[in-house]
Amino acid sequence: MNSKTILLVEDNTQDEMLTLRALRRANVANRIDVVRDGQQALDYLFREGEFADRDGPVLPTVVLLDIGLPRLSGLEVLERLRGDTRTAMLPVVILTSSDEERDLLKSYQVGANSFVRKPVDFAEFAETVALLGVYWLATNKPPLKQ
Amino acid sequence: MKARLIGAVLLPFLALALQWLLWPWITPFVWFLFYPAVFFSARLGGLWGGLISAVISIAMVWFFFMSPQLSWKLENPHNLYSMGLFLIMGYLFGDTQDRLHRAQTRTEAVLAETRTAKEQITQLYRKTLELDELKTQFFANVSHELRTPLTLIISPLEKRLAGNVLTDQQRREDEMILRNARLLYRHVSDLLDASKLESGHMTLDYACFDIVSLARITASHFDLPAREKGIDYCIEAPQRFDIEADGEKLQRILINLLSNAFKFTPSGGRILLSLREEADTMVIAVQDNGPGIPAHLREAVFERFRQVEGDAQRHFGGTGLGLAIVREFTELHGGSVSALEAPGGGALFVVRLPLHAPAGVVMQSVPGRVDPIIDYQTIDELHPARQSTTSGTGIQAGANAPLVLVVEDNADMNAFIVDALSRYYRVASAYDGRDGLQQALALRPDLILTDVMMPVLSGDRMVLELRRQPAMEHVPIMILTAKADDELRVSLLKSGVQDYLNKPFLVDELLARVGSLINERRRVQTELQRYEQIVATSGDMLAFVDSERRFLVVNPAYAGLFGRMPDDIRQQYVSNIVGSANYAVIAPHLDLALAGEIQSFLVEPVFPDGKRRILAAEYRPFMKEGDIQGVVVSLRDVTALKINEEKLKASESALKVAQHLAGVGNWEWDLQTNTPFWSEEIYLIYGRDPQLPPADYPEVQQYFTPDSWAILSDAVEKCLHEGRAYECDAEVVRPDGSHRWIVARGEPSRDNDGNIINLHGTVQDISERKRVELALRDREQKLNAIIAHSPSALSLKDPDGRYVLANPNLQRIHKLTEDEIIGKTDFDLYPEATASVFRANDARVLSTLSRYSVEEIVPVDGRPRIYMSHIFPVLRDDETIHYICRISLDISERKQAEEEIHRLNSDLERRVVERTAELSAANRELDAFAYAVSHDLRAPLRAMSGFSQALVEDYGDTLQGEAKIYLEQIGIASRRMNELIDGLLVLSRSTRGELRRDKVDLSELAQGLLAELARDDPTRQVAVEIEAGLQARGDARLLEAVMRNLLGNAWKYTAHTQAPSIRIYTEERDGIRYFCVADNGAGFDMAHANRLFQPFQRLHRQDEFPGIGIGLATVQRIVHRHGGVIGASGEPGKGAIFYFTLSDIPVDFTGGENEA
Repeated sequence: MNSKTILLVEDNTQDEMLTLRALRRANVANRIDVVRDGQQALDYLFREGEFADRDGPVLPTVVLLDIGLPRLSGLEVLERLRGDTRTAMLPVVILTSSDEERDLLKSYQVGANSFVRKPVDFAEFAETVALLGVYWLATNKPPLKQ
Repeated sequence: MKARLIGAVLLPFLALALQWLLWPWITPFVWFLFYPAVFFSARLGGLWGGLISAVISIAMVWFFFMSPQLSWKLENPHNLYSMGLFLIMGYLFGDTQDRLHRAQTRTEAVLAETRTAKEQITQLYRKTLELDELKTQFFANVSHELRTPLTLIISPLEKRLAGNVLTDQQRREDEMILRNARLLYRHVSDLLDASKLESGHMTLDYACFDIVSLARITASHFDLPAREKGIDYCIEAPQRFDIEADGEKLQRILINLLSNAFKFTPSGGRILLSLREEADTMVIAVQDNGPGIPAHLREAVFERFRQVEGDAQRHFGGTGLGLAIVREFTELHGGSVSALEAPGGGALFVVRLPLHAPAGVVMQSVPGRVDPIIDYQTIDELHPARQSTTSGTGIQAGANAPLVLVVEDNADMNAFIVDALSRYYRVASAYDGRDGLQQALALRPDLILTDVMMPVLSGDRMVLELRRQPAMEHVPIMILTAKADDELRVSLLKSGVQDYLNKPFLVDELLARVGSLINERRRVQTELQRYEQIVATSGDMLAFVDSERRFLVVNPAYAGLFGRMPDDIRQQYVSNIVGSANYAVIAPHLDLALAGEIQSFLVEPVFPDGKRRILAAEYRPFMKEGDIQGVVVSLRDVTALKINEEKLKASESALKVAQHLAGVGNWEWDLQTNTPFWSEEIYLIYGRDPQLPPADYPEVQQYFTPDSWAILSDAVEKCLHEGRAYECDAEVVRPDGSHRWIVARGEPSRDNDGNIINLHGTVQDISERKRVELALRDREQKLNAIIAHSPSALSLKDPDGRYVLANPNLQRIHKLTEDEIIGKTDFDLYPEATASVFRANDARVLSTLSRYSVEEIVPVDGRPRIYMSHIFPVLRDDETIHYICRISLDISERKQAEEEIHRLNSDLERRVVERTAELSAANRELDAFAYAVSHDLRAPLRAMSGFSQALVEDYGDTLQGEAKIYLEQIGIASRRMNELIDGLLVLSRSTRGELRRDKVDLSELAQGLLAELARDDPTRQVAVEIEAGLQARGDARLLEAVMRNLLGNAWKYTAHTQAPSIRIYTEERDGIRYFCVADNGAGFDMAHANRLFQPFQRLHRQDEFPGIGIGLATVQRIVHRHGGVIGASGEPGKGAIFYFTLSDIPVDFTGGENEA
């Protein structure tokens, strides 16, 4: 159970804090790694650059990916992930403020497993994040052996 | 018998003695030993022996054993019963034994009889066997005895023929003897083989030899017939193949199969002999492409004396043993033979022989060879050509002698008959029915002599075929037959055979019969020819139709009607020849004629040549012996007569019509009797009542104007007195007052003395001509006016370019009069460059003959002017060019104005392009802005909401009362802000993106949305009324936004209403269909109606009805994008109605730009 980790890709520190808070309050005790932009996310996942020697499991159980990211956008990151055999099947949840139809369609086109809009209302937000944590860590059966 | 009876009597005593001795042990069974005693007595003495023995036994038992013993007293009455029973038993024993005995005796007697009979049968059988043996032996002996003399005939004959001393006649006769001797020899040999096979005496002389070389040698005998008949004859076999078999038998098999194939293969056919090994058997196959063997006869062909005969057609001679021998010989070898159908038709015989002799058979060193005479005979048989001998006798009948055709398949018989006849007649031979038929048709013989049994086509069938040919109908036919078959003869005589002769016959009888038939034939022929000539040369069309309505006789004139020859029509049904339309007309007459009534009538049939003919027809029934046997049809062409009659009638009426069409009437005035004659047309021209007689000379005056009458009467007087013919125009006044113009013409006729006795002439109505003249003049005046006052320069030139007309405008340009211009060319009037251009444009019109409009620059007063010229040809009636017309208008000023407009237009276009580019740039920016709003405005909001919430959650206890309220306010504000952002996004989205055209059911949509609203707020009870089937065309997503907003509003604003209700329906206003959403809620003041659709404008306070004021703005934009309009009406407290339209073809004024 505890070998399962979550990677949160979020550039907005406030959103990061709120997300982490919501997950903790939902009793998600797993390790949650946070990176701040798209390039970092890729380095983390492929163990390159500054993350070449990172500890923890090879891949997180789920990636929570924002779309509006510096350097590489969330959709670009997702496209790269899907193009690599190591991460082609990695569960990725798009977590974004936008509910633009084109973002939604594009996300699924490049292979998102889920698309979740961050509600502005915190109570709703907390509930949504808690659901996500529980679902992806406990309910969902991941494609790869950890 | 007596001894047996005595034995039977003694036996009870023996039983008594024994029982007396054994009594102490047997007691009390008094009958103990007497049962067997009586049984055996019965066996010895039969019924009587048994009975006597029983009585004796009873007496002894009674006396010796029944108590009291040795006394006749009976103590126990039961003993009496036992005695009775014993007596019955004795009788039964006796009876049974007696019957048994008798049965046995009878059986023995029958057995003895059977044995005798069997012996007799055995003797008889032995005798039969002997007889059969004897018969076979006899047969064999006879055959042998026959063969020897035959051989002795054949051999010397062959030698004689090999020599060179014979005359042709002798050689022919010798050859005939040789052939027939060989045939007899062959028949005898076949019979001998058959008898041997039957008696089982046929043995096989096995030897080991090369079957292929044997087959090749045997097959080579057939090379000659193959060449003669042009048969493609080949052998497929391995190089060499050894087999253990009887060589002679094998050769016979091959000869018989091949000769069979050759008999049935037509000239130019194909025969294939093939040998191959197949699973330890030798397979010999002979395949031809003849008629083949019907499936049901494939087994039967191998039976003895059986020939496959298609009906009565016998194909070839032969004993009918050939294939039987093939089978017998094959089976002797332990093989099998079968007849099949060859691929592509024809017969296929397959013989399978084992490769080896059975074990223990003695093998000969050399294989046997077939009897060469049989070999020769087989080949002979296949040579009809070699057999056919023409008459060689010296005396020949003359060229005019009657021609007899002899059809006989036996070449020798044929030659014999030909010989006999050729002294008196010309003779032709045919060797089968088909040949006979063809020759008969080709030669038209006077008599045909034919055999019945013939290959290909039998004699009787040939006769039927012959009689079907009209040309052969009357040729006498004599049948030659060897069969004493009365039935066949009768049927042949019925089918049209004149006489028959049985074979064998006397030559004199043949000649006598032939002679009488031919004389009769000649006589009838002469008679017939006479009649035929009469019929054939008759100009009338003659035919004889039989009671079946077939033509039996038609003459050439009749056949010619249908473009046929008489022979084509004979035997055809009338209806087929004359055609169904004609037949419908004549059928009733034919019916009556066939019923015995003479028919005479006129017909006008339709003929294939399309020529019109009127025929006078006469149908006369033909009676013979009281029966109507047909109808004699005679037709006469009366067309010319009828046509003349009609022509006369037609020309009279044509004259009338012609006069009317030409408006010409003629008149005559007989001066001697003073009687005028008017044709009908004059009445019409003068308007005189046709009932009246013609007006006489002075009376005519009333029809003319005084001026005209003066001229006319003067002319008439001159004609009357001076004999001068006249012609003058005159104006007629009709009684009804209308005026006509006429030309009156008249001239006199004189008698032989030169006196004028008669005036005659015509009156021609020329009013129309007069009218046209006037109209033409009128038109010319108008045209001249137009030409003269046209603002254009107008000219006509001849094809050479010389002016023939120039209007005043053109004259002004050149400052010349029209007369000065006419006759000149452009080169005389313009500078050469201009004239060349004119000439080129004219040339174009000359070549295309169509109008050409072109701008031409013409120097006028030294300044170039632009002219718009329309040049077109003026054509004559025959489409050749008469004039070239040019109408040129000075358009210099207009040109200038056009250029100015063009310049302004292009400037405008450029500005529109620039503006559009600016607008789309702005649109793109807006789009990007909306996207950013969607993303980036939300994050800080979430932070505000989130952290204020976190504050409450984490530090709620330590916060003062007001602080909590402030935090809540932050949450509320951020939520509201979020709603505003969402609303703005929807608003912006409603004007962005591509507009789809879906079919949307608004009723269904409304239903769904209201259900959703009711689900979210289950406490509300709202009456809903939706008109069904509100179909709209537009973007489904956007239309949903429209309905969502309108229904959401209706839902929201009825919150404080008693019995709220919402209605969705359509309504016609000024012929336009509006979709309406009505509620009975808070409503609004119409004074504020203009603010309803402005964004962020609200008519209610938040605490009354919360909202952000963007919904209706969105709705309006969407409706406008769909090319529709939206409006609202309402009243405070009474509710509101929103109505909108959607164009069927949405106007998309931003579509596509986002894609750019």
